[in-house]
Amino acid sequence: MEDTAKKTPAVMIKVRNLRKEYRLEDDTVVALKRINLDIMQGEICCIFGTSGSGKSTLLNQLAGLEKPTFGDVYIRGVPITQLSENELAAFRQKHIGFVFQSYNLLPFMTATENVAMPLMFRGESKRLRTKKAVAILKKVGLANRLRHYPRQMSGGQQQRVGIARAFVAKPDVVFADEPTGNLDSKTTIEVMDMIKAFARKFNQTIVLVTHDPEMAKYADRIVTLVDGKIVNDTKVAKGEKDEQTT
Amino acid sequence: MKIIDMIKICLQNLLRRKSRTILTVLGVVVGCCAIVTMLSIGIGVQNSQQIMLEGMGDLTLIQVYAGGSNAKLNDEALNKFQKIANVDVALGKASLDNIGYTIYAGEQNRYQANWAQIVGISEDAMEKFGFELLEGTYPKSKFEVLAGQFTAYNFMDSQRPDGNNMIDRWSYMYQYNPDTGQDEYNEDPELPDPYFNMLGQKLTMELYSYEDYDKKITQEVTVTGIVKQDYNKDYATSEGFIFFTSDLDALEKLVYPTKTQNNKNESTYNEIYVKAMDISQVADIESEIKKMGYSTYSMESIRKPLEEEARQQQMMLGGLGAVSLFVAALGITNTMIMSISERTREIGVMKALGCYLGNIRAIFLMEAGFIGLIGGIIGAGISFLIALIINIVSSQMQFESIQQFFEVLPTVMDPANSPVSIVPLWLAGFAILFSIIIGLGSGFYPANKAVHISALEAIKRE
Repeated sequence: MEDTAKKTPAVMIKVRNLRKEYRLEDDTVVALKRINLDIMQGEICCIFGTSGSGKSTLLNQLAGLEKPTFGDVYIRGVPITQLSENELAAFRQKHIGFVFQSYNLLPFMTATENVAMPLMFRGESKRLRTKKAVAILKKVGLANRLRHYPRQMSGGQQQRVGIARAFVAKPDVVFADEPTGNLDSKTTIEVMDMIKAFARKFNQTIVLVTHDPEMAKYADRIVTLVDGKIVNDTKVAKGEKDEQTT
Repeated sequence: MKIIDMIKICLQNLLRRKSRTILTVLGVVVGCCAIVTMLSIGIGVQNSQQIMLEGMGDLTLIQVYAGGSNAKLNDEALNKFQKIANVDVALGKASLDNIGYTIYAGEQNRYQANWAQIVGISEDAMEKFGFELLEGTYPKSKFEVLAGQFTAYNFMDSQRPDGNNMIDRWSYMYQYNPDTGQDEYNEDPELPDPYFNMLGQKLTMELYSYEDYDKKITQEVTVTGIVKQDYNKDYATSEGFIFFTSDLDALEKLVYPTKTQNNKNESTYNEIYVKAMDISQVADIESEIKKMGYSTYSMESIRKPLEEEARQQQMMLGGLGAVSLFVAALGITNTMIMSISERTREIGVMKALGCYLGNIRAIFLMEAGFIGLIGGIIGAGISFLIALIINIVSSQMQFESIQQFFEVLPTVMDPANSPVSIVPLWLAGFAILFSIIIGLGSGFYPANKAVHISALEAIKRE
């Protein structure tokens, strides 16, 4: 099964002629110029670029956080650039997860409540969503931090809560925006291994935005952006290493 | 998102910034108190007026006077008035004209009254007129009568020595007070029992015409009930007898057998009273009667301008209170805007994770509504205490112990005692509801602001 899936992978994210301009007083800055990109199901795609390269802008467009000036983004064939805010919310609940650089946990909620939040937006009962949240928190190794508030946890622990929150609803795509930007090298490895493990297990697509070349080693594919244009798109050969991390 | 989850989030948000929430709620409390206290004083004024007017007379009663030649006070008129919408009862009052009488009671006519007020009330209306029976029943048959509360004291005992043969009821009402050295008036003194029991007493009336004092005619009447003194109904309720008008007619015929039957166009009643079902209908009924050519008098002519004035006063007082609640509303808006700008990133995260716009709006509206609700409840409670304090101070009641204080409370707040401030339950409920509406109203703009926060805020880096 897995082999056939790898041989004919479905396109998860389809980007066509994407252009994004920002108006600054009289000036118009073009952040993205005619981006065309296909990201497959199960692919861990690293969008790499220096600051100002447009990589964050691209992530915003892919995740539907911002409307492009021109062009379309399809996720699972759905043109998310055409959706209304509420349709987008419903779409995100089902298909999209986020891991943020600054974790973005809600300070007045416990670890469990933070993880259960996307399920709460979907209207799941407290009992069911708590059960799911606790299960995934155990998987990220925070079984003894269930009732802790974000301020009572270290950066690495907070980011693990963030990862649990991104994956709890079993989304098709998880967008990770510099997920290890605030972490030391040891925790970075832990966190990245965790993301990769989850993605492999459920054949999920990860879009990883980073300026850190080190991150590239976790990716199946590296898309390099310079001045809002894709200058390089490399597939990393899949070896035995992947099998081991699963 | 489930409503319970939204309520929980909004409560958590309110509790996060306790001092700010408390201060905002305090604003609503002050506003709510201002409105309720002002209105409660207005209601108090209205209540006192009502009590004052009721003391002056029955507010539902309309007195009808004869008008021109076509507007006589006779049975025909009585029937017409009875048919007007919302009339409870129309009744005629007659007196015993041109006849002198002495009334005897007891064995061998031992007790004798030279004077007692005698009034006739139309038969079918007597009960509805609202005489308050102290004892006995309403009369049923011919020559049965009601006696006034103090009628028995009008009789003197012929077997006692002169000067000591009557109980002087009035002397008991003015008692000498040695402390002040003055006579003090006591409206309801302890009276000794009268010489005989009036209830069930067979009385002998000795009647004579003023034309021929020697020609005496006697008629026996039976007292079936004693009514409470009520000057607004008739003086006979104090010292006299209430007859059916038909019995008075019969007495007149006994004294003046040759006098022809009353002409149909002649007035048969001295006065006609029309009683409305409710105060609010008095004005309509009055104008209806006036259209028939009669003149009328009722408390309405006094009540109406007083009510109008009280309403204006209430509007003004309420308006003053409303201003402070409006200020509180600005406070809520300000608090909500501050809290939303502090939570911009959180709202962005919630949106990025798929929270519906409606849910975000609902959460913030609820927060504002909660501030109104809590402020309203506390405000209504404090207003009640304020009313209590106002009433205690204005009543100038003295109390030495706390226990005595609690005994005094119900008296002080009782609307029957004309307190300065009255907080009816509907006013408290209205105040809470109004506070919630104010809260929701002032949360509307901030909630809209929250909805328009972009999910991009979640991605932004500090």
